[in-house]
Amino acid sequence: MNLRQLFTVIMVLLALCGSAQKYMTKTGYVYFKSHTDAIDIDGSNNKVAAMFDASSGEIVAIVLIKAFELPLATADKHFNEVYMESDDYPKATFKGKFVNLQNVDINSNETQELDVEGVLSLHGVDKPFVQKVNISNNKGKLSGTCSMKINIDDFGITVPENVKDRVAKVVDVKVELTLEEVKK
Amino acid sequence: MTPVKILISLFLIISVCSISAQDDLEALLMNEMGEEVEYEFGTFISNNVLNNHSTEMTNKNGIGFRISHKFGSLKSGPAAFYGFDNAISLFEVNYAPVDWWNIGLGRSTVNESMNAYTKFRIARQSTGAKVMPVSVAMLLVANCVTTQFEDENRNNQLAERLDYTSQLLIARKFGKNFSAQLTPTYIHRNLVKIKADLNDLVALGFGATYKIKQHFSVNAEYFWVQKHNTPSTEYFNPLSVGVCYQTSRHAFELFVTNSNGITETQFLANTTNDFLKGDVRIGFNIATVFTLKSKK
Repeated sequence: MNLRQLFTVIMVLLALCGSAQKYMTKTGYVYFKSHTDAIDIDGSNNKVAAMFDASSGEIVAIVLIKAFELPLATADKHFNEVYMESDDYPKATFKGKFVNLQNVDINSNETQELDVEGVLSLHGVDKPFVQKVNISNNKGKLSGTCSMKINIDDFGITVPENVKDRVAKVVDVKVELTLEEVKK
Repeated sequence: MTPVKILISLFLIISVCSISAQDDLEALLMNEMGEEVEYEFGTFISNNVLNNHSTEMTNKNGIGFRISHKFGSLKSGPAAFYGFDNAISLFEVNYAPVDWWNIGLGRSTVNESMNAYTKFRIARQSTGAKVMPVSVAMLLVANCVTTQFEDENRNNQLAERLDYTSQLLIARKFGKNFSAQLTPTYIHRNLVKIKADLNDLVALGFGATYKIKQHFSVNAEYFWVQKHNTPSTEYFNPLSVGVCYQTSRHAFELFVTNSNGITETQFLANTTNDFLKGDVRIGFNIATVFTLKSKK
């Protein structure tokens, strides 16, 4: 084996190594809305951190609760103190895996639907979680979006009796992540 | 070393590499995230400790209303229905163009005065990537008395009617339930009634709140005020003790106090009742806030 062959083999190996690529973002977006007849309360957070391992299909997302912005006056205080208790539970995490990743081409720029399953941990409660996610690839950036409904009872979030009609039991949540390839 | 051996060792190194790349994804992400700045929330329930401002502010696009009431002295007895007949009040509106800046306008029945204030946040208590032990805000109040001039024939000027209060509000939340505030204060009154009184006064305020349960706290507030007794009047340091209750939109404060003023200059420089002699009155504040919807 001469040096040129050696070099070629090394390059091939490095390229293979590179295909176990990771994608991440620190500016993912999550939006929630609690709709009742009395009042709509919403909030958004554009500091969601997420990482995706293309070789294993694993994905992790971390949402800092205090980074939510609620436009309604005093709502951020209530959100943090009463409902999310963010001093005790500063973040929500999702740890999971794409189930049928091998069936799709993550380099395709067409929108494809994928199932992700894992554990959502929110307000100190871990729950198994299955969710459909739309992914697409735009010039090397992987986008994933999904909408879900979260029943706050499932996560031990209680609503004080006197505001029962102002806070929805089931909250709509939208997530939009655009992950970029992690440069080595 | 033959090229083959080099190749094998490289292969091993690379495979180890890719194995370690399968490491806990969460730990990897946490590592990438680094530390975030965590700001403290809810140092006080409302924008006021009791009489005085707290470091809390109306949030961006919020419009706050505050109604502050104080009855007459409880000592006045049944004849004046324990002070009910001699109430003083303040109506105030404030607006937050940005999160760190509030402006306000108020009208008080004491001396028929109008006041305007501006309050801006200088620092916010935080931990994490940025450690800041206290929240600091600056409060500047200008107050204008609008009663008729005592002598209309004198060369009266608008300046005579004005007084100013400047405060640095320094607060810290200790744990989840207890917060305290230190309030260095400077008061300037352009005109005082008699020569023996002082135009410029310094004061130092101490405020504290203890949360007993969600939305319900016990508050206390005391000001040491520079002595400025005149031969005819003795002035006392204002002390107020009360409770604060919050609903989704309103904050209520109910308290006893010896101060008989309602705006800063009035209750700091004009308190003529002695708390220790039981010369106190009941006061309450109601504060509410509305949001002008933001563009987003």
